[in-house]
Amino acid sequence: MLARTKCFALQGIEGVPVTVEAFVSGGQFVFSMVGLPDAAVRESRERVFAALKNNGFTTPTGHVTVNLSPADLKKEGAAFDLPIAVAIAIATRQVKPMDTSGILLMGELALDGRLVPVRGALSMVIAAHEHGMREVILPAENAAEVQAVQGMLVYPAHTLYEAIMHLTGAAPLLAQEQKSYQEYRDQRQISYDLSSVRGQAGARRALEVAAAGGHNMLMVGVPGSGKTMLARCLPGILPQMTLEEAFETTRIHSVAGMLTPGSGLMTERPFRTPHHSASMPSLIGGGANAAPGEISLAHNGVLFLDELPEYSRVALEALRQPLEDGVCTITRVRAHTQYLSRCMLVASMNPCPCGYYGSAVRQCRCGSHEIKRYLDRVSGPLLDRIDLHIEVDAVPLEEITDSKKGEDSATVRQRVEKARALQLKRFEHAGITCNAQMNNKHIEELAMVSSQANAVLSKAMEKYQLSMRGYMRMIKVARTISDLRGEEEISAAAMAEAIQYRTLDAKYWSR
Amino acid sequence: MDGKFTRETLCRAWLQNAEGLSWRAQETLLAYFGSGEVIFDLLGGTMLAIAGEKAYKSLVNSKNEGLERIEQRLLENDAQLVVRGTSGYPYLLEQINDPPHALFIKGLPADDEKSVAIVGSRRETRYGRTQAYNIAKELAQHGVTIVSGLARGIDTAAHEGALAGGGRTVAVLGNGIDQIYPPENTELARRIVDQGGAIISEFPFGSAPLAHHFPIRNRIISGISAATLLVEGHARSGTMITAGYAAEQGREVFALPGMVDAPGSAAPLRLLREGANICTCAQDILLDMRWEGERKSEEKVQVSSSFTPEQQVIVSALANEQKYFEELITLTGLSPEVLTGELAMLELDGVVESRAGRAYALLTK
Repeated sequence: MLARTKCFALQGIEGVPVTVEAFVSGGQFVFSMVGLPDAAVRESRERVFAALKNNGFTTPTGHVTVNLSPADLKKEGAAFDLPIAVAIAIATRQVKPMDTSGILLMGELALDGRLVPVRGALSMVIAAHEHGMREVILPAENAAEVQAVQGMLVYPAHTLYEAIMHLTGAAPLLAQEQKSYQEYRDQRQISYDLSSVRGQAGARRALEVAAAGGHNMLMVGVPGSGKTMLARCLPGILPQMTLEEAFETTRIHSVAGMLTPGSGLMTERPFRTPHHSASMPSLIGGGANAAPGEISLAHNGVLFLDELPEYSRVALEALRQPLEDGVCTITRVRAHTQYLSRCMLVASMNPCPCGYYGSAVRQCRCGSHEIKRYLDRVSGPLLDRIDLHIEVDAVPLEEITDSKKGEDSATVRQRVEKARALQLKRFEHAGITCNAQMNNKHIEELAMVSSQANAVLSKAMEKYQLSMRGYMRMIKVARTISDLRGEEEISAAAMAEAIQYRTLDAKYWSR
Repeated sequence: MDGKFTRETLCRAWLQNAEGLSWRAQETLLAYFGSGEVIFDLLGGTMLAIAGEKAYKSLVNSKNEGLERIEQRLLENDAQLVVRGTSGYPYLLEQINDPPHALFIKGLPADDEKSVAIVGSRRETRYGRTQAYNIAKELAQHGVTIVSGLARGIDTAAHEGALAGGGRTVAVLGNGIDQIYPPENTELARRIVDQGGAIISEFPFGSAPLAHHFPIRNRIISGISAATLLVEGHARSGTMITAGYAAEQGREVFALPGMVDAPGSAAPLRLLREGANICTCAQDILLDMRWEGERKSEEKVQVSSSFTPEQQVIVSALANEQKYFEELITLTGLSPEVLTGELAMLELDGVVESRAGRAYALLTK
């Protein structure tokens, strides 16, 4: 007989509905699976048969056809095991015929019938909800991930047997309790707190400005000056993620298989630190199955590139477009996928190959041509996309040992959130959310540069020979500083501070 | 053969261009046979004995190519040959013990009375680079020719300074005149020639910048200069060799003092201990060489009344030496955001300069 079950395939972070059909007729045993299954899906036959057998069912005899529809969509991954097993169980009349069209099934099967967690559970559940489905049976370890989705009955199952007993009504499972986003947020813990950063008043201030306006940032400093520590504190002073943002980020991590099993919705902004040997596909996404890259995993969070000049030029140049657009498009022969990549880029580097150029404590032993060659590995166009450039001094030992604690992240975050609120109000009708996203038109219409600030800016233009792009970047940063000060118009003082965050390339890169 | 070069000049170029012909062998050949033409025409067994096998082979090979080839190479590179004892050969260089028999020159021949060699480390510091640049610039403005070796670091700064001062500068190479080393200075070399300077070399066409060429080359740098200024150098370095030559050749040696704990100060401080003249600015050289009469009065950093109170605090905190940003916060008691803004304004007004490592210093002229 014929049986149908419902599941979802992943395309990027979107779920696409797939109907699993199983048809069993008499004759000699033949098994065929159609509908563009990839290797993992084709192999599901072995897992499904073993699981059925080990859960008290028999394997089918006769002519068995499994069809995954739509037939022209490539199906990947092991999440189809459960719907295939259920369809076969119904088609072989071991389970009474029933309508399962309103129930999403997903899960990989172990040979003993246990359900193994799958990638992309959250994306599939959200897609199912959009398609009007209200029930889902999934591996127990995927349950926490979808706990925040409202209006969905989630039945976590441990084995194939439990899933089928639930469907027949013989032993119904308990639906998982839903959890509101508020509850998640209350559990939030900051892993790195600014109060543990000693001294560094200048760098802390720059970090606050970067967070308040969503600006990319470059830190130049001698080894051991605390660049990495400062960067790690950034997620903690960014505003709380909205529910929508939390869903976006969790979906990307879920699709990439990066969620720890049993963990729930991500409420902490991601902080990604790809190693400098990272290839271009690993940074922006790609590979045979068009997986999301580091820049997408950092969506709504921070992408931290330590030792910027050590990254391959190709990889860095490829980052430019996704940074600008907030989305990266990966095109492969069969797949054309878009992943969101709206993250803050924070980069750090030494001022020279030996690391001690300009240091107060140690003599630099690099020649000027070596320094130039080192700095030139970072291209001008990439620098142009980084709004804030700062130098981090090495903290003298006495500061580390006996100085009063700095402000903690929560206090700084309050100021950041206040500044962000002003920006949200300003950009209500502009379709953007923070100062860093302003384009030239927004700057023209909304930045409100006072005449005094303009005078300071034109002076700086002349002195540092700024490009038009550099000019716009300065206004953006000045706008953020004024937001932190609560000023309507950008003041001369705010502009002067902004200029200091952009003169580094004049100092280092123009020699 | 057209009239640009005489046959004798081409023969001397042929001789100078011989690979592996030592200074002494060439001296003997010239003393024995009298002229380049004779050597060219009579090339044979006696010369093999004097020149040695390798140089003789090279002479024979290039003789077989003909004098036209030499002429062609000179023309291709827009170079000339100045022969010792003829006009255009630097007078000062003539005075040393082992002057080159002939020099390949691009640009104007380097016969300068007022000339200072500025030499120093290839691994220079910002301090050394700035001083070399400024001193070269001021000397150039006073009509002094700046001689250096076109190397990275101090050499480059000295040439650049001289060009910025609108003066003449001469680069002495450690390789053939048909190439520029280091390659990034190709553009600089072009400007040196364009601005009335010269590039000179005694090495054959096509010779590579080999390590042992440089000490040989250094005797020319000091030899064509009335004085040599050493800016920065490590304890055992080529700059010390140049200073040694200068002393041997009876020229004035100047050294620019640096901080005693910096490795780049080892060479100049040792020279100063051994009795070199101290040079703290271009005026020191101009006075000691009696090229200039009066010492101009020094300008003082003015504390302008147009400063805001915060700026006054910052400027006085910077009075003695450069300060790092974090130090300034402690010294001035200003908040980071105010300090950042005020420093930006001071920098824009040209009062303060920012340095590597987020240090700030008062800008002195």
